[in-house]
Amino acid sequence: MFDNIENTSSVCKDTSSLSERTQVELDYIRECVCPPKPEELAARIDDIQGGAPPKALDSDPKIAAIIEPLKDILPKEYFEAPSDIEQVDTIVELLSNTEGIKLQDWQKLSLDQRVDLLNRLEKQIAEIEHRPACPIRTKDLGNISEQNGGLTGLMGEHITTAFGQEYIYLNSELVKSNNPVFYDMVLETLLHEGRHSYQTYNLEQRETHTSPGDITNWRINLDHYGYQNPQLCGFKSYWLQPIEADARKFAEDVLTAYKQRI
Amino acid sequence: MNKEILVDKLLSLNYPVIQAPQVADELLTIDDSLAQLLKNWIDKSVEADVNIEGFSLLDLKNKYNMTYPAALLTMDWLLKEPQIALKAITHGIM
Repeated sequence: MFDNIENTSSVCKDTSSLSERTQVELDYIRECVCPPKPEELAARIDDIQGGAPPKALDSDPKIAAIIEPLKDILPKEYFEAPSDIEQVDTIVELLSNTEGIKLQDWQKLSLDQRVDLLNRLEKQIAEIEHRPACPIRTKDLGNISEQNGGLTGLMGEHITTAFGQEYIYLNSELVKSNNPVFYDMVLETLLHEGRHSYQTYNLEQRETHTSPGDITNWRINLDHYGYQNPQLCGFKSYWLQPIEADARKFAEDVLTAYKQRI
Repeated sequence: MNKEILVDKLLSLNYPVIQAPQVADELLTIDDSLAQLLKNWIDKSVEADVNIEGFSLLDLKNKYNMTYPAALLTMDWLLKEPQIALKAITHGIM
């Protein structure tokens, strides 16, 4: 995780004039900046900033200035994520420049090639969103049918195992199909489940999302009301809950902008 | 209809303790045209079908492995806000 500590000559500059926190706290951080000790830096900043889960390492402007030289060394998931608008724009750019993702190219790929492509996309999307990537798998999640101009069925799911490993499962019927409506749903489901991973990361690992109100809404959804599973609560509660509304909006924003672009 | 009886019935279907009262509250406000179906389910565990906006309650229940109350609430939504409900149902679950 912290294996890239080469080229650190720019790191060792004087940052003593930047402090507003106590001198002791800032010295505590600086000890890990020069010379660079990235493994310990995150732990020390988390210790000073407090919070469970901890906040992004650069959420305090003064600390952010001190650790700026180390930004390229530490994993992106330790730092504040771009705004949703920036994430959408960057993912649209990624999709526009990814070979094989356009429908006519997608239709020529084998199932294995499609899954490889989706895994490559997920890795890049996760990097944009400052979260760890999830392995993408296909799974028989039941029949999908076209109805009233849309699709009914279970398109995909984001799960976290008891050991904390996350996976994104896409319905194998979706990924295998050459139907353009199914293809659109593959992209939407990938983005939607990826957003759930982003929500999970922010709720459980580190708050990197720049709108704290969103995180509060996600937490209230899960802690006060519980996840509104459609099997138990019906479609309305499922559809309207903040966790789902946010994931749906994010995926739709990306796909709308992507389709305008191509 | 008695909320306590409804909550007990939902708990017997393994609803989480936090959600049984929420779902019971929603069921107690379903449209009059569906209320008899709910009563029959509570009293006799009868799972009767109904069609709204081209969707059958029992088809939805089976397709999504829903409980009868969850399918009933979905039909209620189709009745009260058909455009939004149709958009949601034909978007699938993800």
